[in-house]
Amino acid sequence: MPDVNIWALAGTGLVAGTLGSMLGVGGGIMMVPILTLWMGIPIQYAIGSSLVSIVINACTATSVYIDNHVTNLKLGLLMSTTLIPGAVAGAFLASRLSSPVLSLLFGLLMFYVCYTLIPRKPRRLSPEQIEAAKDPHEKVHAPHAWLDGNYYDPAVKQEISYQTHRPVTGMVTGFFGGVISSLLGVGGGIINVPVMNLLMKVPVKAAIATSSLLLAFTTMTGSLIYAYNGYVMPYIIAPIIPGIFLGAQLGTRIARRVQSAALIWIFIAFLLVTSGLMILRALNIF
Amino acid sequence: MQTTTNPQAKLQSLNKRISLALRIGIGIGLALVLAGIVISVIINTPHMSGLTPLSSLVPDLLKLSPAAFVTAGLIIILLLPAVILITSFAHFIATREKQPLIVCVILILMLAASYVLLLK
Repeated sequence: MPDVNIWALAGTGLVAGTLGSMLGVGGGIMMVPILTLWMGIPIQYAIGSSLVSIVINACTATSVYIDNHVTNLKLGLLMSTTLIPGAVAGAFLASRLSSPVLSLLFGLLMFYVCYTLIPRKPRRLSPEQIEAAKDPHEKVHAPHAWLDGNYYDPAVKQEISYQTHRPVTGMVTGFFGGVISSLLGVGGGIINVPVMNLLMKVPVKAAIATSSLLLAFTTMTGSLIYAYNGYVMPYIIAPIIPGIFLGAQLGTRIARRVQSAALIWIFIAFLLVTSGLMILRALNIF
Repeated sequence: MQTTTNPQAKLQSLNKRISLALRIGIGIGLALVLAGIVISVIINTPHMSGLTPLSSLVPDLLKLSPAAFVTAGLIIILLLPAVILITSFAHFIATREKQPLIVCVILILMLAASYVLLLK
Protein backbone atom coordinates (compact mmCIF):
# COMPACT_ATOMS: atom_id res chain seq x y z
CA MET A 1 0.00 0.00 0.00
CA PRO A 2 1.50 3.41 -0.98
CA ASP A 3 2.15 6.33 1.39
CA VAL A 4 -0.73 8.80 1.16
CA ASN A 5 -0.96 12.40 2.28
CA ILE A 6 -3.69 13.03 4.87
CA TRP A 7 -4.48 16.50 3.42
CA ALA A 8 -4.71 15.15 -0.13
CA LEU A 9 -7.23 12.55 1.07
CA ALA A 10 -9.27 15.20 2.94
CA GLY A 11 -9.18 17.46 -0.15
CA THR A 12 -10.35 14.57 -2.33
CA GLY A 13 -13.26 14.07 0.04
CA LEU A 14 -14.16 17.76 -0.03
CA VAL A 15 -14.20 18.00 -3.85
CA ALA A 16 -15.98 14.65 -4.32
CA GLY A 17 -18.51 15.49 -1.59
CA THR A 18 -19.35 18.93 -3.02
CA LEU A 19 -19.72 17.84 -6.65
CA GLY A 20 -21.30 14.49 -5.72
CA SER A 21 -24.12 16.00 -3.68
CA MET A 22 -24.64 18.83 -6.20
CA LEU A 23 -25.13 16.35 -9.05
CA GLY A 24 -26.69 13.50 -7.03
CA VAL A 25 -23.97 11.06 -8.11
CA GLY A 26 -22.45 10.41 -4.68
CA GLY A 27 -18.90 11.45 -5.52
CA GLY A 28 -17.49 7.97 -6.16
CA ILE A 29 -17.16 8.67 -9.86
CA MET A 30 -14.43 11.21 -8.95
CA MET A 31 -12.99 9.54 -5.88
CA VAL A 32 -12.07 6.15 -7.40
CA PRO A 33 -9.92 7.59 -10.25
CA ILE A 34 -8.25 10.13 -7.92
CA LEU A 35 -7.36 7.43 -5.37
CA THR A 36 -6.13 4.93 -7.97
CA LEU A 37 -4.52 7.12 -10.65
CA TRP A 38 -3.05 9.93 -8.52
CA MET A 39 -2.43 8.20 -5.19
CA GLY A 40 -1.67 4.68 -6.42
CA ILE A 41 -4.16 2.94 -4.12
CA PRO A 42 -5.29 -0.50 -5.44
CA ILE A 43 -8.74 -0.25 -7.03
CA GLN A 44 -10.52 -2.62 -4.59
CA TYR A 45 -9.42 -0.42 -1.64
CA ALA A 46 -10.37 2.72 -3.61
CA ILE A 47 -13.84 1.29 -4.30
CA GLY A 48 -14.27 0.24 -0.64
CA SER A 49 -13.29 3.75 0.56
CA SER A 50 -15.48 5.32 -2.10
CA LEU A 51 -18.55 3.33 -1.04
CA VAL A 52 -18.14 4.29 2.62
CA SER A 53 -17.67 7.94 1.59
CA ILE A 54 -20.83 7.80 -0.50
CA VAL A 55 -22.84 6.55 2.51
CA ILE A 56 -21.67 9.62 4.46
CA ASN A 57 -22.24 11.94 1.51
CA ALA A 58 -25.69 10.44 0.82
CA CYS A 59 -26.78 10.56 4.49
CA THR A 60 -25.58 14.16 4.88
CA ALA A 61 -27.25 15.23 1.61
CA THR A 62 -30.44 13.33 2.53
CA SER A 63 -30.60 15.02 5.95
CA VAL A 64 -30.67 18.41 4.16
CA TYR A 65 -32.91 17.45 1.20
CA ILE A 66 -35.47 15.59 3.33
CA ASP A 67 -35.61 18.48 5.80
CA ASN A 68 -36.58 20.70 2.83
CA HIS A 69 -39.15 18.05 1.70
CA VAL A 70 -37.49 17.68 -1.74
CA THR A 71 -36.83 13.94 -1.26
CA ASN A 72 -39.64 11.60 -2.37
CA LEU A 73 -39.30 9.15 0.53
CA LYS A 74 -41.91 6.63 -0.67
CA LEU A 75 -40.43 6.49 -4.17
CA GLY A 76 -36.95 6.11 -2.68
CA LEU A 77 -38.05 3.20 -0.49
CA LEU A 78 -39.82 1.50 -3.41
CA MET A 79 -36.82 1.76 -5.74
CA SER A 80 -34.53 0.45 -2.99
CA THR A 81 -36.33 -2.91 -3.13
CA THR A 82 -34.52 -3.66 -6.42
CA LEU A 83 -31.41 -1.55 -5.84
CA ILE A 84 -30.34 -3.45 -2.69
CA PRO A 85 -30.35 -6.93 -4.35
CA GLY A 86 -28.46 -5.30 -7.24
CA ALA A 87 -25.90 -3.87 -4.81
CA VAL A 88 -25.36 -7.27 -3.16
CA ALA A 89 -24.91 -8.91 -6.59
CA GLY A 90 -22.45 -6.18 -7.64
CA ALA A 91 -20.30 -6.50 -4.50
CA PHE A 92 -20.00 -10.29 -4.86
CA LEU A 93 -19.21 -9.92 -8.57
CA ALA A 94 -16.47 -7.34 -7.80
CA SER A 95 -14.58 -9.76 -5.56
CA ARG A 96 -14.33 -12.16 -8.53
CA LEU A 97 -13.04 -9.66 -11.13
CA SER A 98 -9.42 -8.56 -11.59
CA SER A 99 -8.21 -4.94 -11.22
CA PRO A 100 -7.70 -4.32 -15.00
CA VAL A 101 -11.25 -5.54 -15.74
CA LEU A 102 -12.67 -3.27 -13.02
CA SER A 103 -10.61 -0.31 -14.34
CA LEU A 104 -11.83 -0.96 -17.89
CA LEU A 105 -15.46 -1.19 -16.75
CA PHE A 106 -15.05 1.99 -14.72
CA GLY A 107 -13.56 3.88 -17.68
CA LEU A 108 -16.40 2.76 -19.97
CA LEU A 109 -18.96 3.71 -17.33
CA MET A 110 -17.55 7.23 -17.12
CA PHE A 111 -17.98 7.63 -20.89
CA TYR A 112 -21.62 6.64 -20.38
CA VAL A 113 -21.96 9.21 -17.59
CA CYS A 114 -20.69 11.96 -19.93
CA TYR A 115 -23.33 10.90 -22.44
CA THR A 116 -26.15 11.04 -19.87
CA LEU A 117 -25.05 14.40 -18.49
CA ILE A 118 -25.13 16.19 -21.87
CA PRO A 119 -28.75 15.50 -22.98
CA ARG A 120 -30.13 16.01 -19.46
CA LYS A 121 -29.02 19.62 -19.31
CA PRO A 122 -31.76 21.33 -21.38
CA ARG A 123 -34.47 19.28 -19.63
CA ARG A 124 -33.77 20.89 -16.27
CA LEU A 125 -36.81 22.77 -14.97
CA SER A 126 -38.29 23.47 -18.39
CA PRO A 127 -41.60 25.38 -18.08
CA GLU A 128 -43.44 22.63 -20.05
CA GLN A 129 -42.21 19.98 -17.65
CA ILE A 130 -43.35 22.00 -14.64
CA GLU A 131 -46.75 22.68 -16.24
CA ALA A 132 -47.23 19.02 -17.22
CA ALA A 133 -46.45 17.97 -13.67
CA LYS A 134 -48.99 20.45 -12.33
CA ASP A 135 -51.83 19.36 -14.67
CA PRO A 136 -54.75 18.63 -12.30
CA HIS A 137 -56.48 16.30 -14.83
CA GLU A 138 -53.44 14.04 -14.98
CA LYS A 139 -53.26 14.00 -11.19
CA VAL A 140 -56.81 12.71 -10.77
CA HIS A 141 -56.07 9.73 -13.04
CA ALA A 142 -52.59 8.99 -11.65
CA PRO A 143 -52.25 5.20 -11.28
CA HIS A 144 -49.51 5.44 -8.65
CA ALA A 145 -50.77 8.42 -6.65
CA TRP A 146 -48.99 7.34 -3.45
CA LEU A 147 -45.67 7.96 -5.21
CA ASP A 148 -46.52 11.53 -6.26
CA GLY A 149 -44.67 14.38 -4.63
CA ASN A 150 -44.35 18.11 -4.21
CA TYR A 151 -41.72 20.51 -2.92
CA TYR A 152 -40.89 24.21 -2.88
CA ASP A 153 -38.18 25.24 -5.35
CA PRO A 154 -36.47 28.48 -4.26
CA ALA A 155 -34.73 28.83 -7.67
CA VAL A 156 -38.11 29.37 -9.43
CA LYS A 157 -39.89 30.54 -6.25
CA GLN A 158 -42.85 28.15 -6.59
CA GLU A 159 -44.31 24.90 -5.31
CA ILE A 160 -43.58 22.03 -7.73
CA SER A 161 -46.08 19.14 -7.81
CA TYR A 162 -45.46 16.03 -9.90
CA GLN A 163 -46.67 12.50 -10.48
CA THR A 164 -44.41 9.49 -10.86
CA HIS A 165 -44.62 7.49 -14.10
CA ARG A 166 -43.50 3.91 -14.89
CA PRO A 167 -42.43 2.84 -11.38
CA VAL A 168 -41.98 -0.81 -12.39
CA THR A 169 -39.66 0.05 -15.30
CA GLY A 170 -37.76 2.36 -12.95
CA MET A 171 -37.35 -0.44 -10.43
CA VAL A 172 -36.05 -2.89 -13.05
CA THR A 173 -33.53 -0.32 -14.30
CA GLY A 174 -32.68 0.46 -10.67
CA PHE A 175 -31.50 -3.14 -10.16
CA PHE A 176 -28.69 -2.52 -12.67
CA GLY A 177 -27.94 0.78 -10.92
CA GLY A 178 -27.41 -1.26 -7.75
CA VAL A 179 -25.09 -3.73 -9.54
CA ILE A 180 -22.97 -0.90 -11.01
CA SER A 181 -22.93 0.92 -7.66
CA SER A 182 -21.31 -1.94 -5.75
CA LEU A 183 -19.27 -3.28 -8.65
CA LEU A 184 -17.51 0.02 -9.29
CA GLY A 185 -18.05 1.99 -6.07
CA VAL A 186 -19.84 4.86 -7.78
CA GLY A 187 -23.08 5.06 -5.82
CA GLY A 188 -25.45 4.50 -8.74
CA GLY A 189 -26.72 8.10 -8.93
CA ILE A 190 -25.45 8.26 -12.50
CA ILE A 191 -28.14 5.69 -13.35
CA ASN A 192 -30.83 6.69 -10.83
CA VAL A 193 -31.04 10.41 -11.63
CA PRO A 194 -31.52 9.99 -15.43
CA VAL A 195 -33.97 7.08 -14.86
CA MET A 196 -36.12 9.06 -12.42
CA ASN A 197 -35.93 12.28 -14.43
CA LEU A 198 -36.28 11.02 -18.02
CA LEU A 199 -38.24 7.78 -17.56
CA MET A 200 -40.32 8.41 -14.44
CA LYS A 201 -40.85 12.15 -15.08
CA VAL A 202 -39.68 13.18 -11.61
CA PRO A 203 -38.34 16.80 -11.64
CA VAL A 204 -34.54 16.86 -11.63
CA LYS A 205 -34.18 18.38 -8.13
CA ALA A 206 -36.50 15.77 -6.60
CA ALA A 207 -34.65 13.08 -8.62
CA ILE A 208 -31.27 14.23 -7.23
CA ALA A 209 -32.64 14.37 -3.67
CA THR A 210 -34.31 10.94 -3.95
CA SER A 211 -31.15 9.57 -5.56
CA SER A 212 -29.24 10.58 -2.41
CA LEU A 213 -31.61 8.45 -0.34
CA LEU A 214 -31.17 5.52 -2.75
CA LEU A 215 -27.39 5.91 -2.59
CA ALA A 216 -27.52 5.64 1.20
CA PHE A 217 -29.28 2.26 1.00
CA THR A 218 -27.30 0.73 -1.86
CA THR A 219 -23.85 1.86 -0.72
CA MET A 220 -24.53 0.80 2.86
CA THR A 221 -24.98 -2.78 1.66
CA GLY A 222 -21.99 -2.63 -0.68
CA SER A 223 -19.65 -0.99 1.82
CA LEU A 224 -20.46 -3.53 4.54
CA ILE A 225 -19.48 -6.31 2.11
CA TYR A 226 -16.23 -4.51 1.17
CA ALA A 227 -15.45 -3.86 4.86
CA TYR A 228 -16.06 -7.53 5.63
CA ASN A 229 -13.63 -8.51 2.85
CA GLY A 230 -10.94 -6.18 4.33
CA TYR A 231 -11.06 -3.52 1.59
CA VAL A 232 -11.82 -0.58 3.93
CA MET A 233 -8.61 0.78 5.50
CA PRO A 234 -8.99 3.22 8.44
CA TYR A 235 -5.97 5.33 7.46
CA ILE A 236 -7.40 5.92 3.97
CA ILE A 237 -11.02 6.48 4.91
CA ALA A 238 -10.55 8.51 8.13
CA PRO A 239 -9.18 11.71 6.49
CA ILE A 240 -11.72 11.46 3.63
CA ILE A 241 -14.75 11.43 5.96
CA PRO A 242 -14.52 15.03 7.32
CA GLY A 243 -13.89 16.29 3.75
CA ILE A 244 -16.91 14.41 2.42
CA PHE A 245 -19.08 15.73 5.26
CA LEU A 246 -18.15 19.36 4.63
CA GLY A 247 -18.44 18.90 0.85
CA ALA A 248 -21.91 17.37 1.11
CA GLN A 249 -23.13 20.26 3.28
CA LEU A 250 -21.72 22.75 0.78
CA GLY A 251 -22.97 20.90 -2.32
CA THR A 252 -26.60 20.58 -1.18
CA ARG A 253 -26.78 24.28 -0.35
CA ILE A 254 -25.31 25.28 -3.72
CA ALA A 255 -27.56 22.81 -5.61
CA ARG A 256 -30.75 24.33 -4.21
CA ARG A 257 -29.91 27.80 -5.51
CA VAL A 258 -27.69 27.49 -8.56
CA GLN A 259 -28.16 26.34 -12.15
CA SER A 260 -24.64 25.03 -12.55
CA ALA A 261 -24.27 24.56 -16.31
CA ALA A 262 -20.58 25.54 -16.30
CA LEU A 263 -19.92 23.12 -13.47
CA ILE A 264 -21.49 20.26 -15.43
CA TRP A 265 -19.16 20.94 -18.36
CA ILE A 266 -16.14 20.96 -16.02
CA PHE A 267 -17.40 17.68 -14.57
CA ILE A 268 -17.78 16.19 -18.06
CA ALA A 269 -14.25 17.29 -19.02
CA PHE A 270 -12.89 15.71 -15.81
CA LEU A 271 -14.74 12.47 -16.53
CA LEU A 272 -13.49 12.28 -20.12
CA VAL A 273 -9.85 12.69 -19.07
CA THR A 274 -10.05 10.24 -16.15
CA SER A 275 -12.05 7.65 -18.12
CA GLY A 276 -9.39 7.72 -20.84
CA LEU A 277 -6.65 7.27 -18.22
CA MET A 278 -8.52 4.41 -16.51
CA ILE A 279 -8.93 2.57 -19.82
CA LEU A 280 -5.26 3.13 -20.71
CA ARG A 281 -4.26 1.78 -17.29
CA ALA A 282 -6.51 -1.26 -17.78
CA LEU A 283 -4.77 -1.93 -21.10
CA ASN A 284 -1.33 -1.48 -19.42
CA ILE A 285 -0.51 1.58 -21.57
CA PHE A 286 -0.54 4.22 -18.76
CA MET B 1 -59.35 19.67 2.87
CA GLN B 2 -58.34 18.18 6.19
CA THR B 3 -57.96 14.71 4.70
CA THR B 4 -55.41 15.96 2.17
CA THR B 5 -53.40 18.26 4.44
CA ASN B 6 -53.08 15.82 7.36
CA PRO B 7 -51.13 13.09 5.51
CA GLN B 8 -48.95 15.84 4.00
CA ALA B 9 -48.25 17.33 7.44
CA LYS B 10 -47.53 13.84 8.85
CA LEU B 11 -45.12 13.11 6.00
CA GLN B 12 -43.36 16.41 6.64
CA SER B 13 -43.07 15.52 10.32
CA LEU B 14 -41.54 12.15 9.29
CA ASN B 15 -39.09 14.01 7.05
CA LYS B 16 -38.08 16.22 9.99
CA ARG B 17 -37.59 13.19 12.27
CA ILE B 18 -35.43 11.40 9.69
CA SER B 19 -33.38 14.54 9.10
CA LEU B 20 -32.77 14.96 12.84
CA ALA B 21 -31.81 11.28 13.30
CA LEU B 22 -29.37 11.52 10.37
CA ARG B 23 -27.79 14.73 11.70
CA ILE B 24 -27.30 13.25 15.18
CA GLY B 25 -25.88 9.99 13.77
CA ILE B 26 -23.53 11.78 11.38
CA GLY B 27 -22.39 14.07 14.21
CA ILE B 28 -21.55 11.17 16.53
CA GLY B 29 -19.91 9.14 13.73
CA LEU B 30 -17.87 12.11 12.55
CA ALA B 31 -16.78 12.94 16.13
CA LEU B 32 -15.52 9.36 16.63
CA VAL B 33 -13.61 9.39 13.31
CA LEU B 34 -12.06 12.78 14.14
CA ALA B 35 -11.11 11.47 17.59
CA GLY B 36 -9.38 8.52 15.86
CA ILE B 37 -7.43 10.89 13.60
CA VAL B 38 -6.39 13.13 16.53
CA ILE B 39 -5.27 10.14 18.63
CA SER B 40 -3.30 8.68 15.69
CA VAL B 41 -1.52 12.04 15.22
CA ILE B 42 -0.82 12.38 18.98
CA ILE B 43 0.58 8.84 19.37
CA ASN B 44 2.24 9.11 15.94
CA THR B 45 0.72 6.08 14.21
CA PRO B 46 -0.37 7.53 10.86
CA HIS B 47 -0.84 4.06 9.30
CA MET B 48 -3.64 2.44 11.26
CA SER B 49 -4.00 -1.24 10.40
CA GLY B 50 -7.33 -2.73 9.31
CA LEU B 51 -10.70 -2.13 10.97
CA THR B 52 -11.06 -3.37 14.53
CA PRO B 53 -13.08 -6.62 14.86
CA LEU B 54 -16.42 -6.20 16.65
CA SER B 55 -15.35 -8.61 19.41
CA SER B 56 -12.44 -6.37 20.49
CA LEU B 57 -14.03 -3.00 19.73
CA VAL B 58 -14.91 -1.97 23.30
CA PRO B 59 -11.56 -3.03 24.86
CA ASP B 60 -9.69 -1.26 22.04
CA LEU B 61 -11.78 1.90 22.51
CA LEU B 62 -10.82 1.88 26.19
CA LYS B 63 -7.17 1.49 25.15
CA LEU B 64 -7.65 4.61 22.94
CA SER B 65 -6.80 2.71 19.77
CA PRO B 66 -7.26 5.10 16.77
CA ALA B 67 -8.48 2.27 14.50
CA ALA B 68 -11.15 1.36 17.08
CA PHE B 69 -12.45 4.96 17.12
CA VAL B 70 -12.57 5.06 13.31
CA THR B 71 -14.30 1.63 13.23
CA ALA B 72 -16.91 2.74 15.80
CA GLY B 73 -17.57 5.92 13.79
CA LEU B 74 -17.91 3.92 10.59
CA ILE B 75 -20.34 1.44 12.19
CA ILE B 76 -22.61 4.28 13.33
CA ILE B 77 -22.47 5.96 9.91
CA LEU B 78 -23.06 2.70 8.00
CA LEU B 79 -26.13 1.91 10.11
CA LEU B 80 -27.77 5.30 9.46
CA PRO B 81 -29.73 4.13 6.37
CA ALA B 82 -31.27 1.43 8.60
CA VAL B 83 -32.43 4.25 10.92
CA ILE B 84 -34.28 5.86 7.98
CA LEU B 85 -35.98 2.54 7.31
CA ILE B 86 -37.01 1.88 10.92
CA THR B 87 -38.29 5.45 11.40
CA SER B 88 -40.33 5.18 8.18
CA PHE B 89 -41.64 1.75 9.18
CA ALA B 90 -42.89 3.07 12.54
CA HIS B 91 -44.49 6.07 10.81
CA PHE B 92 -46.33 4.01 8.19
CA ILE B 93 -47.66 1.65 10.88
CA ALA B 94 -49.04 4.68 12.75
CA THR B 95 -50.58 6.22 9.61
CA ARG B 96 -51.75 2.79 8.30
CA GLU B 97 -50.43 3.45 4.79
CA LYS B 98 -50.48 -0.01 3.28
CA GLN B 99 -48.24 0.30 0.21
CA PRO B 100 -45.24 2.07 1.81
CA LEU B 101 -45.56 -0.20 4.86
CA ILE B 102 -45.27 -3.32 2.64
CA VAL B 103 -42.24 -1.74 0.93
CA CYS B 104 -40.61 -1.09 4.34
CA VAL B 105 -41.21 -4.71 5.44
CA ILE B 106 -39.65 -6.00 2.18
CA LEU B 107 -36.62 -3.72 2.69
CA ILE B 108 -36.15 -4.76 6.33
CA LEU B 109 -36.27 -8.44 5.29
CA MET B 110 -33.80 -7.78 2.48
CA LEU B 111 -31.32 -6.02 4.76
CA ALA B 112 -31.66 -8.76 7.38
CA ALA B 113 -31.02 -11.39 4.67
CA SER B 114 -27.97 -9.42 3.43
CA TYR B 115 -26.47 -9.35 6.94
CA VAL B 116 -27.13 -13.07 7.46
CA LEU B 117 -25.50 -13.79 4.09
CA LEU B 118 -22.59 -11.54 5.01
CA LEU B 119 -22.03 -13.17 8.41
CA LYS B 120 -22.00 -16.65 6.83
